[in-house]
Amino acid sequence: MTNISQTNDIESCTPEVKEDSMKEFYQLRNNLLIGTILIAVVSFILVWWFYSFNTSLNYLLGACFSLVYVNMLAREVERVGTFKKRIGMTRLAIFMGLIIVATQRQQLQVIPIFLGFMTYKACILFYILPSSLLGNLNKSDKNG
Amino acid sequence: MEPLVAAASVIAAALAVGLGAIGPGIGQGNAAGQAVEGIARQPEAEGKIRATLLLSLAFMEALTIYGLVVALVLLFANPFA
Repeated sequence: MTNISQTNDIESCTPEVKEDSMKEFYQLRNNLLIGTILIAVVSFILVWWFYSFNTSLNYLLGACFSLVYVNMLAREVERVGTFKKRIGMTRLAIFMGLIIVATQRQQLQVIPIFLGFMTYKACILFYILPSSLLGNLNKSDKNG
Repeated sequence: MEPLVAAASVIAAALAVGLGAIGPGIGQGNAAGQAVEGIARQPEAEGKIRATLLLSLAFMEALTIYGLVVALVLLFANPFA
């Protein structure tokens, strides 16, 4: 019986069903990319206002690499289990190159570039915290 | 740069990257393996599983990045030099 039901499950997983199930992933990827761009723009203006234009350009450089990093990570997660058997570390090479160039060049500053690179993490936190907090609130409402 | 400071910096950089990559490496491997297993069991939840995997990998890889930054700063912009 188990084998029959498993076979039915596999048969029911047509490409259309798979596409529908992947919608959530693509939505998350797009949200992360758009959120990273938004946070980067807002932070760029704030840094320009409070520090200097040079520092804000450094921040923007890090934020651009952050976008590339998130995109590469999403592409790799999309391929896990299908094309690729393991998760590579090529993304970190980009970051290493960025930091090495930042330390070697006099015009570039390490900390704004690093913080710019961490923009994706701020976006993830902004994305996760409301949903997790609201989920906890809903649970406590149901229990109470 | 003094030879002692240089040697200590290189060892510290190696330790920062090496030790900083062990934990996230094991975690990423486990997470990816479990995710693939979950997708194989429930193909209809593939999007949800991959979305969760993306978020968890992003968090895990940040730990490696912290170690990498410390190592690169020690090697290329050493504050003790």
